[in-house]
Amino acid sequence: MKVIDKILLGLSATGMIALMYLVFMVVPADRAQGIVQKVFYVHVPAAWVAFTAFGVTGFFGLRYLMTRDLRFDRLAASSAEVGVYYITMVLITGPLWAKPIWGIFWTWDLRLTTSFILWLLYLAYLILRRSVGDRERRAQLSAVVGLISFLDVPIVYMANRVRASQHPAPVVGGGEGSGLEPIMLFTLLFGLFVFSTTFVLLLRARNGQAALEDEIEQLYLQRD
Amino acid sequence: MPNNFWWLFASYAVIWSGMFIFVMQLLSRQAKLRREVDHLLRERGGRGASDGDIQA
Repeated sequence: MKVIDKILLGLSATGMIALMYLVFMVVPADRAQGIVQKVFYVHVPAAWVAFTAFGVTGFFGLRYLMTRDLRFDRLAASSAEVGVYYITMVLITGPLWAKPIWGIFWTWDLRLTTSFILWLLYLAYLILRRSVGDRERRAQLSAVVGLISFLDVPIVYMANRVRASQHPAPVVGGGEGSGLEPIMLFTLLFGLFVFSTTFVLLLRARNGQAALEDEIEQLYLQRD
Repeated sequence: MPNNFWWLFASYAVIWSGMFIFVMQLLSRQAKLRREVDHLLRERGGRGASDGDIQA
């Protein structure tokens, strides 16, 4: 393991413990929703990191199309895989938060539906990668699908900003009347930092594996 | 126990167990890939075992 990965691992591990301390020992419970509102400190950072991961997939997909360098394709695919993990966490923790507050796990409103579509799009991206044999064609198709799928990210982001939604209104960057207590905002931003370092660590690990997978594919081709 | 504590507990349990499963899956895949590369390289009689280190 390289030094940078050791640093990222240390930051992620200690950050997670510190985040748990902040969430359960320091931040007060929300007046309206009570203790269950603390799901917010993992639900929102997971969503932001998922959006970033899909942005990274689109960016490196575009770089691949411009350069035909497979290193960019590997980074794009690795980021999509890690992003799917984060968006899955969003789609599980959201209903667990919704049930005691709304009385239901799920409703097909714009924010929730577009988030679910985002998850389906990147699952399709990963399935596509497994179903195309030719390496170059796989990279080209994935880059195009990764770029098109990213169009759903701003739609998810704007969904509860442009239209009334069952989903809570944004508390950061949500315009007049939105905002958080300083300790709540700090905990949210700290959660975002921890989830981001974990994302970079997982991305680097998955990308190293993708390089090994390509090496194996090449070795099989040489053998045949 | 505060109201709705178990919903909060379930959410954090999902996050951390999900992370654990994802990392375990990565580690097991890493070991499998490393074995496969080593096997193919031995079969080819080429260079030594790949270090399989994490790389950007």
